[in-house]
Order: sequence, then structure tokens, then C-alpha cells
Amino acid sequence: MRAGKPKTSRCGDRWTAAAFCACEPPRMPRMPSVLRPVRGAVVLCLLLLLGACATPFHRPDPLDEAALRHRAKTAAGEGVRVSATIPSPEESRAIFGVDLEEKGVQPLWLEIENDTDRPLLFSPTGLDPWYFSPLEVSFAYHKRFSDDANAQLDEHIRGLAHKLVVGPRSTESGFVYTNRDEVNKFVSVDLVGRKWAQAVNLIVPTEGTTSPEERYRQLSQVIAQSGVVETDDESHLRELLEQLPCCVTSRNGTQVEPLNLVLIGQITDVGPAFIRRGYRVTPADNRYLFGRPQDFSASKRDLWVAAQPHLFRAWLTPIRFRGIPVWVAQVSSPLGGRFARPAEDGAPLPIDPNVDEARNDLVQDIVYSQFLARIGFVQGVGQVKASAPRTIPGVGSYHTDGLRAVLFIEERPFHLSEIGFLDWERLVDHYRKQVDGGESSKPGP
Amino acid sequence: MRANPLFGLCLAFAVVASGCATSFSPRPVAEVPFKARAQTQVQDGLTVTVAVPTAEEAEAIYGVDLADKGLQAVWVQVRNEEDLPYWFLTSGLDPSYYSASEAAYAFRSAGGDGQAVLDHFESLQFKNPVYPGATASGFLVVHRDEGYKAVDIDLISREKARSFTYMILDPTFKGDYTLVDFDALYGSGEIVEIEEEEALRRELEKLPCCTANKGGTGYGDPLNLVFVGNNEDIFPAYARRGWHGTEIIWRKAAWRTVKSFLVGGRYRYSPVSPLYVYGRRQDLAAQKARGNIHQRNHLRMWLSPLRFRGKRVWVGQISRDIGVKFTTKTPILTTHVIDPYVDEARRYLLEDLAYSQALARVGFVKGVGEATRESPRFNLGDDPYFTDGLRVVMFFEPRPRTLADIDLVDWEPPPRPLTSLNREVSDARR
Repeated sequence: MRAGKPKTSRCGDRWTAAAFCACEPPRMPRMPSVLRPVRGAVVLCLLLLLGACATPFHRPDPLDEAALRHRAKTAAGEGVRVSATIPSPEESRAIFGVDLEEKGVQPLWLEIENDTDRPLLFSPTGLDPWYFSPLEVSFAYHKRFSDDANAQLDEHIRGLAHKLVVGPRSTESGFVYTNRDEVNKFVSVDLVGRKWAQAVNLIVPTEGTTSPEERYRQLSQVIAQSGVVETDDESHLRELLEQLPCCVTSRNGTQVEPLNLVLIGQITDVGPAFIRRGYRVTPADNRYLFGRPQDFSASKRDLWVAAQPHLFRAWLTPIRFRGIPVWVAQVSSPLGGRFARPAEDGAPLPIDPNVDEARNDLVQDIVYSQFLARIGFVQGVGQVKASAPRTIPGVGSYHTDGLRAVLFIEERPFHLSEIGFLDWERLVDHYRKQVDGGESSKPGP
Repeated sequence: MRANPLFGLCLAFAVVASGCATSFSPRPVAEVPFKARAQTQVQDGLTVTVAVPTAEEAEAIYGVDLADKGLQAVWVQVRNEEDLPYWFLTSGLDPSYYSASEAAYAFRSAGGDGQAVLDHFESLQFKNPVYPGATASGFLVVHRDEGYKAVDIDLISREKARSFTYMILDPTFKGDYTLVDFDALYGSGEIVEIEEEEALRRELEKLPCCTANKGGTGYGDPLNLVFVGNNEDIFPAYARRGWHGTEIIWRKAAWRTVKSFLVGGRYRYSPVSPLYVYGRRQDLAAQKARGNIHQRNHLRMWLSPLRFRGKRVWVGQISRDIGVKFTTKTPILTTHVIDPYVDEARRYLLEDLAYSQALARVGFVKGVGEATRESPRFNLGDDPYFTDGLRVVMFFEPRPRTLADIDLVDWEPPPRPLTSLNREVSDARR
């Protein structure tokens, strides 16, 4: 059924290198003439060689879910409970019979218990928009001339995949084939029905890493020793936040970047809010606050466009607002961002002087994560004008409106129009002062 | 006289060298006529105008070639006649947008110590907030999209949030869709206007089963998609989820595809091969690049003669490339393989678009008919496929909408795992 005219031959997506072709009908390469007399023998030899490759598929032992369930992270929603585990590389090889890690596939075991009277539809796209389909995974391990073994592998990988639907009052478990996360996997399980949806979020550590919840427990114990400051009152909270140190310090105690962000939320909400917008835990040069280096540092991960270059460091404070932990953080970008070249001696790049921009971008990210319940601003480092920037040896210089953004992070999805604004410092007034001060009084282009 | 090659080389060198030495001299914005293509929308007291300069126009305005670094400028003007200040959320336009200083850094060698470039970029930048009674305008530097730009403008105040969406075509892009005059595809006598849902269902079931080859002598992949909606609702929804248009097969596109193949890079606009419905090649194709060119999801769309409540109805086909296989049919002995379970790609697209904020309703109608795994059908590339034989019908409306707002049309029972949605319906009826 080959097409007759050049234009009608199928190219592009079907034939890799022919994607750009002028669409000549393809021809088989001709066998060199010296081999033609022994054609039969050549073919026979090839077939024998290839036959040796046709190894049968050894079906692994049936999956023992108890071990995965035993160490699963779990979270509950309205009438639902989700458990998730990432099998270790050894477990994974035993379960799938192939080394998924080799191809960058991270299988995630999910068990969804449905205690409601409605069926739940689970959307893996919400968890990883680049997830792999089961047959895509098994295809990567197909062997030539092993049709039976390939078909069995297909069946095996497909059989282990999550069925994506959970009937009323029942439980469904299985694997989702996701892209690899190195340290922690933030798992957002979207459950959809007709004209309703709910999300259950949890954080699943990979083998040998500490989960953020565990890290939070450790930090809480440290802080409990020196005393927790509880408050239920908003204006008291504002005072406490304005009394926090202005800046982070270097190891020798020099004040460095301003602390320009406060997050109020449980680790299980703060984590997913950031992860939804592409942030991942990444190492960073140490900065110090409360006598210790940052508790978490994160930056945005490139997907298929280069991500914004913001670097973010956070510390758990002793403050609890209505029982919810309060974090203080510093966010900035390297000067030149995605266009900057790393220094040859590996020295850190200077910071972009407009630190407010990094802060405002991060705020917007959290706005779009749909986890932002309320936002306010309090005094922080104090205003530093662009005309007289503050210089920090070895770090660069910066200017700022001097405010800290305070973000109240909660789990339920908040539309843009549902976000609450606190009547503390008002960013609008600060910008108006700038305009009145003649710093940016020109109308836009 | 025969030209001396050495002389030619020197001349070329001199031209290149002088090109480098040109000073940084952007043109005033008012002298660049891109605003002639501006689009304006009004919601209550907010008037928002958007225009996208072409690569050349942006170069005139910025004085440097933004496109060369993969950047694009979008011009936004907001007139606020309400009584609260509004903030324009730039992350809604592009979550990876560039600040003025970051973008300017890429061109710091263009003029002196880079300060002139930085000052110029900053003077062009849109500045928040938009005070009551004021008009604010300026540019945002974002990732370059070729072909069309879907521009989402979200503005929030203490009390309200408003969303605007624009679809702006690049007049210089040779997209496959630029070959098609959509208004002239069907004469007024050929358009089928439909008001009732059941009538729409009947018409959709009568659409061709599959794509075909040019001569119409062989049938290929099943037509498993239908989209109903206005262009400004459908295409930005795709863009929001990372789907992009594809270039027609011409020389520049060919070279970029080769490069992408050789270095394993990601060419977002590589052409897809033609398949035929209504006797014509796809009106447009879109793809979502993943790891590399070997892995991508792509779909093809054709405008049908149907109109549902005045909205256009498109029919389409989607498959998932899962790898490369050995074949004797191509000169380099390899070809792409599609996931034979084509319904998986269909469900994936439905889910992906469910997150696009613009999907309002979903239904299923009969299409190509069932093909089982045991006795699959074959597409034009001799790849087997199996399917439940249904097509998904997606209705698009203005954003924003959430997952929880999506409704189901009661047509064919949705396939697994979506069957659960239907069970809910019958439960509700009971």
C-alpha cells in the first residue's frame, strides 16, 4: 500500500530522518555485489544470530503490595485516602522484570481508597503532565525478533498500571509511570467526577532521603527547646514578623540578602504549592539565620523551556499563627539569570539588584498554585533606593521597597478572585510614592 | 570578469564585521507599526489591548534581536476605569517570563557597558499597578512562540479578578494553517448549522472514520477527536498546556528538524507528515514535545462543515510516538512507532485539556468502531492500533474554568476509566 507519487509518501513523524524529506518513496538499500552469491548463507547466519537474542520473558513473581503499603505515605481527603510509595531500585527490578531507572522512569505505587458513594476518576496528568503510558514504557525494553516475549512484557507492565478509576466504597492500587524526581516526589492526586473535583497532596521521599515532613518534625523539636511563640492575633503576628531579622548572614555573620518572604502554612501544603509551579529542592550556598543554615532551599526546574532562575532559602521560625507554622525566606536571582555564565572558579554569581522582582515572581507563582488563601505585606529590611543601592562585598548590590510578602498557604484550591488581602503595608501605596517621587513618572510606551 | 574568491571573502568579512560594530540605536515605539494589529477587549471598567510585534519589529523597538535568544515581546495596555488598583499577573502570561534586567543581560555587549541596553529594556517594561482612572502600557519579554501567540492576561484587585485571552497570529510564520483560507473552505451552501445536541451527535457519527492517503485509496489513523468552540477559546487552551503549531515542510523547517534529530534537541515546530480528510491535508497540526523528537504527542485537525450553535466544529486525530523501530521501508532503517492503544493518547489529551481552564463539556460519539488487541487494525504506516472506536467531543468556552466545572454530555457511555462518570449520571437518576 505504498503511495505512488512522491508527495503522497508518508514522511515526517513516521520516518525519523525522512521528516524533512522531499518525500521520495523509500528504497531498500542494495546488497553489495560480492555478497550476492552467498545470499542464502548470509541470511541464515543473520537469522541464527538474531535467534540467539530471542530470549523469553521471565514473568516476575506476583506483586507483594504489603511491603509497599507498609512504608507508604498517606493522606486523606473527603471520604478518600491515598497511599503512595516509590519502590527502591531493587524492588522495582523485581516487580517489573526490567530496570526502569535506566530509562528515567520512576514508577509510583498509588493506592486510592474510596469511602464515598461515587466513583472516582484519577487523572495522572495532574501528577505528571509528562507521564509515560504503559505501552510506551514496555516498548523501551522490547527486543528484536522476540514478539512473544515483548507481548508478555507489554501485558505485565500494563497489568501493573493503575486502572485510574475507583468504584464506590472500593480500593484500587497500581503504578503510574512518572518522570524521575531525585529527592522528593510531590504527589498531587486529582480525583474528578462529574462537575466536581478534589485534590489529595502528599510528599513521597525516594529511598534513603529524608521526607520534608520528617525534616519538619526534627526542626520543630529543635525550636521547641528554645520556645515557641504562639499568637492568634493578626496585628500581633504583624509585629512579630516585622521584628524578625532583616537579612540572612554569611558564615562569618555579615548581613547578606534581605529576608523578603514569609510563608504561613503546613509543610504538606507549602511543599505542593511550590512543586506545582516547578520548584524542586536544590542545594544552595549556605546562608545563616537563627544560628543555622537554611532548612530548605529550592529553585525552579527546567521542563522544556528554561525556568526562571530564582533561588529560595527558607527557615522555620519559632512563631506559630493559630497553630500553623511560620517560615521566613529569602528569594533572589543571579544577575543575568538564564543568560549568565557560571564563573570559571565556581564562585557564586552576583545577585540581580532588583530583588523585589524575584519576590514578586515567586508570589505570582504561589497565586497560580491555587494554594494562596491570603496575602499581606509587612516591613522588612526597609527601603533601599535604586539611586543609592546597598552593596554587599562578594554578593553584589541591591535595591528594594523593603517589604516582606506574607503568604498564607492552605490546601483547598483558591481561584484568583478568592484570594484575601490583608490591610497591612500596601504595595500600591509604595509604588505610588515612587511615582510621586518622580522615579517612574513617565507613562508607558 | 571572474570574481576573485579572496576578494569576495574579504568583502563578506568586512560586511559581517561592520554589522557587529553598529551602535545600539532602537527606534521609537511610535515609529514601528505593530499596533495596527492590536486587539482590544473590554470587561466592565477594564479595557485591555494586546499586540505582538514580529521578530523584525521587536528588533527595531529593542534595538537588538530578541528572537535570536528565543525571546519575544508582548505589548499590553490596560485602561482602568474602576475604583480599585489592578495588578497584571505576568506569570499568567508566561510562568517563565524574563525580567527586564535578565533579558537585557543577554544583549549587554550591544551598547557600551550594557547600561544603555538595560535602561532601554526597563523603559519599555510594563509597570504595575494600574491605578484607578489611569492607563498603563508596556512590553513583557517572554519565550518566543512561533506562529501564533496565545496571550492570557489576568488582572487582580483586592476584590475582583478578571481574565482576558487573545490569539495573535504572527504574519511571518509559515505554519501549515497559513496555507488554509478557513473562511473560504466551505461555501455558504455547504455549512451545516446545528442547534440540537442530538442532531450534532448524529452528524458527528457520520463524519469520516479515518484519515486517508492523498488518493483516498488507503485508510489510516482513526479520527478520534472533535472540538467545538471559538478559535480564541480552543487554541489558547492548547498553548496553555504546551501544544504548539507545526511548520510546513520547507527548507528552514527541514534544517531545524535535522538538527533536532542529530543533537536530540527539541524543535517545537517540526513538521508532521500530511494525512487527508475531506480530500485535503490537515488544516493544522499541533504537537507537544517531550524528551526529544522521538517522543512527542501530535495531533492533526480539519475544519468540518458543521457549526454547532454558531461555533466551529473541528475533527481530529491523535497518537503518541513511543519510540523508533527497525524497518525496511526507510533509507535509514528506522521509523516512529505509535502507542497501539490509541485511546490512551485520546484520554491523555482530554485530561491535558481539562487543565487548560477552557474545557467546559465532554461527550463521546461513535467513530471508527471497535478494534481489539487480538485483531488490531493498521494505519498507513503499518502500525497496529486497537481502540474502543469512539471519538471524544470537547466543548470549549471562555476561561477560567476548573476541573470541577467540567460537565458530561449524555451520549455514548464514556469508555473505561471514564465510565465512572456515566455511572454517576445513572446513580443520580436513580
